Amino acid sequence: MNHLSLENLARLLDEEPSRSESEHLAECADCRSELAALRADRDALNALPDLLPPPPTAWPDLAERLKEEGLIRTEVTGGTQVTPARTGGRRFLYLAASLALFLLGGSTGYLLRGADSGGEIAHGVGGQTTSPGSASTGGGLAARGEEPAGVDPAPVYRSLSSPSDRLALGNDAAAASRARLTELFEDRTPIPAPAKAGGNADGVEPVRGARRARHLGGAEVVALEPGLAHYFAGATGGVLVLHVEPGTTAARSGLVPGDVITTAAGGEVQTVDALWNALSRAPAGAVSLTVIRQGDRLELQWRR
Amino acid sequence: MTDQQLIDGAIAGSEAAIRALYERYASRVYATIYRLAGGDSALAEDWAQEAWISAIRALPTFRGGAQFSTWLHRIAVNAALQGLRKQQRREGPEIPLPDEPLADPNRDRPLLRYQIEQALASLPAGMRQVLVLHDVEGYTHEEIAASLEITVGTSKSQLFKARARMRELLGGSTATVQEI
Repeated sequence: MNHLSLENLARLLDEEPSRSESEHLAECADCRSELAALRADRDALNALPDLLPPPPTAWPDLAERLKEEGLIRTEVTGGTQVTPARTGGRRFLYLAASLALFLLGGSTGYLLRGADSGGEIAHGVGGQTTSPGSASTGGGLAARGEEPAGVDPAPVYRSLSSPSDRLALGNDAAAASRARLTELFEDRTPIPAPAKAGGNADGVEPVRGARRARHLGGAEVVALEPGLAHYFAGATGGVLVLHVEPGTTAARSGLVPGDVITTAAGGEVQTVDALWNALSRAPAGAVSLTVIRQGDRLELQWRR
Repeated sequence: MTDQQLIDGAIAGSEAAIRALYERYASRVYATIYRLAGGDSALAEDWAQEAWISAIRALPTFRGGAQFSTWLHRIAVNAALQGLRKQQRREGPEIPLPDEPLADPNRDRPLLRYQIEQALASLPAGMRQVLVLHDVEGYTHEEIAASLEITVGTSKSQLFKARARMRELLGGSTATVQEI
């Protein structure tokens, strides 16, 4: 029996089926089931929360722009208004602090795990060695869709029920930091095409999002800031692997959390965009990766 | 204070009035733009800022007869679509990601709302725009076609492709999806 295509079934959410489609649906339980699933998907999309709090830095940044544009002409006085001197710097410091906190926790967990297992990290286990003590596991729990008791897996998606709740989130620096930190490490958005801007002197491109964790082939990765590289023996820069999803390309390639990818397809990678470029432009098949793992230099093959 | 009072204050350049309007509607604006930005929070923040700048600048043209929230929502959608167009011009055609299809390791567990968000974010931009505008925001194909400068037929075609792709990405049973 020829089934109706998914696209045709998707059309039937809005349009009446033709006679032949009706006849097929009457006979085919599989297609009826797919149609019901498509309807449920649409209902789920429609039920997504209307409210999503913007990051706490959004208002100060906007206020500064509005002043520059002459749209704010009467400022709030009395010392309650906070106007940032340089918003770009604020954002960088915020992300850098979040990253530093995470990496500090992650490094501790990683080292503890190393100590527990006699300092050995198994090669080629494909990320299945994530430890309960590691910060990357903590971040990865929610990212994998497992919902720890009492922990919202995606605070940025949280639908806050009242204006006072939303205001409280906006005013509560600690809550905002937690939300931002969680967002930072839950971000699995596709890697954007590389920015065209040139890099700075140390080769780390100051592109938007360059410091944010990204999801690539089942690995959560982030550019290793030069200031943090000394925590990773043997690495001076590269792309740090925060988490590896079991059964994915990254896992099959032998990457594990804590690895620092320094080259891909023979080219140096200092940013996630550069890594993405190297992997996406390489011909099908294996792509060689150079990885620093606990001071050792390894050659891995990224197998698609 | 009513929206109109705040709007009057904002037109006069009052920071307090603009901030009050912002706090009243920022989450709604950001939610719409965030989804159109494919879950890229940095991009969404930039586009939301552009939306607010445009809205505050255009406030003197706002006619009290319409709902301010509806008017603002249109501006937010337009800002996001403009941002997407600029991005596409700058970056050229989309390149398929060397990534896995969205894994669903919890097929037997209730699907989490954020998996829907993640699947949405992983769609190609053209499909995502139409799906968000139609199935999330409730726009008609005629409105979408006008906003995106495409035909109604293209809007429908993109919508059906997007729904099919979402289904492939989400997998799982109907019962699972319904448990959201």
